[in-house]
Amino acid sequence: MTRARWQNLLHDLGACLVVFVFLFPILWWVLASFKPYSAIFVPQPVFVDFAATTANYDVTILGQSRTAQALEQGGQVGGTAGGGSSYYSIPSILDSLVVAVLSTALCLVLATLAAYALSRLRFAGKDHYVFWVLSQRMMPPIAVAIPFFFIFRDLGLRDTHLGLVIAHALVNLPLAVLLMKSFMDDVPKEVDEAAMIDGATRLQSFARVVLPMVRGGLAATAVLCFIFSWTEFLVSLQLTTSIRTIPVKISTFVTSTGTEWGFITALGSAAMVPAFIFILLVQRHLVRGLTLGSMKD
Amino acid sequence: MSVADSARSSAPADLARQPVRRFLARVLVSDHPFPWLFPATAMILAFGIYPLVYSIWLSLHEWNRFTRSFSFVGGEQWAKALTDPRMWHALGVTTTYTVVCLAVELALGLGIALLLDRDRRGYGVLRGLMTLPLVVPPAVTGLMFLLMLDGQFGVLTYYGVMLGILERAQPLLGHTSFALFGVMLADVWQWTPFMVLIFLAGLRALPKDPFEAAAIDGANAFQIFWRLTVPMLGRVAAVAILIRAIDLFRIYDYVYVMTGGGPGTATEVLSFYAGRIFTTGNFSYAATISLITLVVLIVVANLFIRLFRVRF
Amino acid sequence: MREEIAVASVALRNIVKRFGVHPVLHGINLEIPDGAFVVLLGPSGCGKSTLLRMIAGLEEISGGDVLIGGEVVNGRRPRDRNIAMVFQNYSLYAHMSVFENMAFSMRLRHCAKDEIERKVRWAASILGMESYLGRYPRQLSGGQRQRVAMGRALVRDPEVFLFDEPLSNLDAQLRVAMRTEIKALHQRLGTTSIYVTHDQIEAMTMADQIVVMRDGKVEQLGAPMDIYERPANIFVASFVGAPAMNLLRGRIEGDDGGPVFAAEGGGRWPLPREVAARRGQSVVYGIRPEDLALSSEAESTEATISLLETTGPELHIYAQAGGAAICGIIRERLDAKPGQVIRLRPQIDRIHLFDAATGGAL
Repeated sequence: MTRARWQNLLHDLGACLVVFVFLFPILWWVLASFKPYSAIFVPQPVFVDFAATTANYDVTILGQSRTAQALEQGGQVGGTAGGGSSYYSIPSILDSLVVAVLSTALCLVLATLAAYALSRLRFAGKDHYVFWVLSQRMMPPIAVAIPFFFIFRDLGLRDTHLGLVIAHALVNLPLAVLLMKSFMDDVPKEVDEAAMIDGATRLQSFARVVLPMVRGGLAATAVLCFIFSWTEFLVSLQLTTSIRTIPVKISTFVTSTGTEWGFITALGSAAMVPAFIFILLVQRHLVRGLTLGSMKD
Repeated sequence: MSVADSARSSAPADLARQPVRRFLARVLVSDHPFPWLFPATAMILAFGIYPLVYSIWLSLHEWNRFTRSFSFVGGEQWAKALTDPRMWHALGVTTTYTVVCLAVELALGLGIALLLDRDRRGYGVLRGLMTLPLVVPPAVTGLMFLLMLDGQFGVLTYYGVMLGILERAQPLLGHTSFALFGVMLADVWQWTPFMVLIFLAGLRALPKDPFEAAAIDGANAFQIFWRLTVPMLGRVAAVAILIRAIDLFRIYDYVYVMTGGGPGTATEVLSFYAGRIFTTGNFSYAATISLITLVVLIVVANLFIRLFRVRF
Repeated sequence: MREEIAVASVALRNIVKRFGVHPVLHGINLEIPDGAFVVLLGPSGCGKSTLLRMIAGLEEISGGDVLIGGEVVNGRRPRDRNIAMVFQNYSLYAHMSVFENMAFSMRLRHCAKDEIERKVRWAASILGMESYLGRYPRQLSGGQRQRVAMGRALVRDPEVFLFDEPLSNLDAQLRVAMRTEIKALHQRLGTTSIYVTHDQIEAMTMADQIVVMRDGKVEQLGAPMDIYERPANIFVASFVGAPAMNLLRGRIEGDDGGPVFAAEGGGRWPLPREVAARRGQSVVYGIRPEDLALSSEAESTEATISLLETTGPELHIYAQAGGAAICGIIRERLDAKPGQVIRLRPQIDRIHLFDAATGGAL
């Protein structure tokens, strides 16, 4: 439809404005990670008029000890508690990465197998099964986290990477199954039939024909699983003591003596980067796939 | 399918090479769903049933301090929960939270999706940037907004005061009536992009013809939106509403980080109430509250699916 | 290089199909001879595709037997029936090249690389596809995709080819071209073929035998000209041939000159001397448009022109005769306009009579 030039301009302006509004908290946050406390804790917000410092990143990413830093600075940096090394966060970032990748992989394998059956095979109680899978998501986090604590402890999986991988994969399963099912629904059943007439078994048809055709959907589901695992807090908190995923690590920055806002903002900002890269890579597929199959009649 | 058949269909060399694969192929060759569903179902059963069963068991027992053991009390905990005014209050808070956030996220999500659904240069970047809030851990989001809504140092408070909607003395999160809005703000900020993504995908998949016909027939933009776009997106919206509503009802992270349920119990949602009870050591009651949440969700989800004929 | 191609017969015995409690096929019996090209013809919903899919092994058989090459194959999976199928929507493997699409079945059987190469190129040469073996389905036109689907079936070297309305997604001109190609292919290879369509022109031009189906039953089975010239009932008569046969309700009456057909609307139409119907019997009178001719004889019937259509070689006349709408096709030039009255006369030996109650031919 033809539109006046000024209409287009207005539209563009509006779009940019909206996106900016949504980005503002993140920008503010990242900005804060570079600010000394004197620039954060002031009644009037400070946008550019401050002495930028990388001190927060030095501690969390580079592992500089706080005492060394304090000495270096010749005075207070901010906050009132803890030694420097306990804020070193690279191990947390690595832990989070490992758990996220592995749990996503595990979840996808289980989910695609189940989704294929739900998409292709007819059997009694299919709708009930789907609802049951969905209902796994309906328990309040606390009611799930605590029993998890007990199960995993008894299985000897508590505070292990494996345990966390299983737990995250489990929580992601319902959504992954539903998503993959809808992607597979988009591939016509006749293609399976053609493959089976060509001599393929169900498994071969699944692996060599259907799976390659839902690559985009796999990417989209992988992204969502990854993000969830990356940001999950309660279950990770309950299941670990020495392993600390990023959200849990951040929560340790809130101590009884005070909140280390500097380190929180630094780690929080650093944590956004890998996840955002992941999203950018598969954003196209993500948008395409999220109709959840409901546009097909 | 017999062994002979499968043997006939694979060359001799294959047999020697991959016996495991052959076995798997034989098992998975039938059209029975069992082998396909088994791994996922097993995992869900193993780890998902236990919390449920354990919670149910807990809700039927009471921890006896004197005998230091659980004693069966039947429906006592349930009766207590159903007559607990604080539980009903939490239910009310949770429902308000769910309904308002859902409505706002739906409306905003659709609006922003319509705004960003253009093929002009740069809009791809805008759409990508729009997904950034999803990537922030909810706990961090809570902290973000805590900082921004802080009574003394918060940037949002500053501008709120300037605009006359807030008072310095009463920051949003300390306000009995409006603290919930502060929490909702965090949720809306984080999850509107999710709705935007879903609606973008939905808009992409819409067929062009009806819209062209409507334009020729003389419909204006609003009529097209109201009578064509909205109904056609209905199915997409239904699934999105369902999934989002389930998550909204179980909200915990934002409350935990931002308000701790307060001021008082102004922002005490069901999950948080259950958590609070849990920390006092009353596992049974906490489990009961959790189960009530579960039951409400199952009933409402079921009704919703039936009413709107949602198909997955 | 001539490939050794096996031929076999297909037999259906008392085939019954139910979806739930709803019966869709009611006891179908068919014997399909070696090397024949048989067309299952019928309107949508008559069960022809279901029947084809049961032969392929894609649908469960509720009752009866399917035999291929003399063996009962009821329980066998599609891959074990030695058949190949061309789908309506081609069902190509979108992520594989044309070559890989055709090679897929052989790769599954772990055939030797050079054999795969040989066979795929052989099939490609027959269908004229060599130039796009490396392309992907999304880069191809509808006709090209159709060829890939057929190439995929060809490479299988099956006992039976199954076609499920393969041409319905193509434009008219392409359809005609492909029809000829498929028929030529059949003549060359001689493989038994079962072809499902709702297009009676396809059936007439391609089939050795046509099986006309309606509502899960076989209405008539026979060679194309048999079906055309001796339809077994009103349904077959009106389904085959376009424009459709003129059908008029009425009764047999007689006068001194012999039996005459009196149409409900009042028109009178000639009948041959000997008719298999009694005086006064309610019948349906059938005459194909192409069997009507302009006439000035006394025995011809008056008709008022409603519409004239010319297709180039033919002139279609739509007229009202005795209250009934009829159509006639003539090959001469006629200088007439709507409203004019003309006289039409049917070819006596091409008149069809059907019982008004049962619809069966008399």
